[in-house]
Amino acid sequence: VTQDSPTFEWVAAALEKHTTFDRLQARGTVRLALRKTGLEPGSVDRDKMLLVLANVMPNELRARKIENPEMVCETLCRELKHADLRDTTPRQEAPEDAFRRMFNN
Amino acid sequence: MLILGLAGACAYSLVSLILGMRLLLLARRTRRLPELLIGLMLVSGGLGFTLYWVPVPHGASPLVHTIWGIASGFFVAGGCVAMLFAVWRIFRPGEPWAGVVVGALIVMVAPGIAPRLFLGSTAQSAQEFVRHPLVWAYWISTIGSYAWMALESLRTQARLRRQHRFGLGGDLAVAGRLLLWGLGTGFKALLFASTAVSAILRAVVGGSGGPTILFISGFGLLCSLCLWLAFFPPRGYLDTRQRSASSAS
Repeated sequence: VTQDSPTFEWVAAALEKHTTFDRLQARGTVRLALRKTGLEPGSVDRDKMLLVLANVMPNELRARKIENPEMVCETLCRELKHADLRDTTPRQEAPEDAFRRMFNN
Repeated sequence: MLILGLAGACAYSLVSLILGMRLLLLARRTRRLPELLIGLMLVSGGLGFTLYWVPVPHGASPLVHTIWGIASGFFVAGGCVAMLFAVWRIFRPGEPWAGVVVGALIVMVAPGIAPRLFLGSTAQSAQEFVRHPLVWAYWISTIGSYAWMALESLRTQARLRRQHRFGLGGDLAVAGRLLLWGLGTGFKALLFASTAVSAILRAVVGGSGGPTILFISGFGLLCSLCLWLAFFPPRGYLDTRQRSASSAS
């Protein structure tokens, strides 16, 4: 089964902690925000997640009637910057990287 | 009509063999699986299709006819198998359901290697042939493997464009070339579908399936054009993409 990235796991857990979401709702919300921006839960990294939290997530939380969505996202961004996200699992190559190599040969 | 048919067939054979060899040479340097599988798919599919439309030399023995037919089926099926592994490895690595679909489609494509061997005496006439479940399994697997690649490629290029829109990277040059690659493999799926429709029409209505040759060669030409442009886009296109990427960053 495809593994989600440590960044995804961390943000979903943090969102569950800072909102009234249960585990399933938190993971689903992060997953939907990533899908909207064309990112994958299995490969999203810290830098891209920070952009999603700043630009997309507030509206996602507002749509789900979460109070103070901007403040929740600011907290998540602040904590994510210092989170320990050591990832030892080997990552699969993204399709676009494989095709970039083939096209630019 | 004959000239258009030949143009489509020649274009597809040439483009497949040139791009396939190029990717196999790349795979020799990089030792990476994606280029090896796509290269094998293009070379094998191109060879199989070439043997399909190039007539057997005059006066050849029945054995040569049989070997020619089996070689064509073998290479076309080999191209589909390489394509299926490529889709699995590039787009769906580590997803067990994709492995099951790939396994099922590979089993279904096997009768295409030597239809008469698999069908035996159960499908003697053209009508019996097109009604046989193994023939339908072969058609579904060949059309399905290229259609799957097309859908995954189009989905990935749409994802890259979304990333770009949100300022999250997203290489628009690769997105544009993936769009062409997706359209190219989609046209190849339609080409396979046209050959199936042609066989059904020949069996049901009779004749040589004339108008369907227009579709087959048309899709062959469109497929070749899209695949070629994906690998060799006009310089102006790349310059525009580079400019828009730098302005976005």
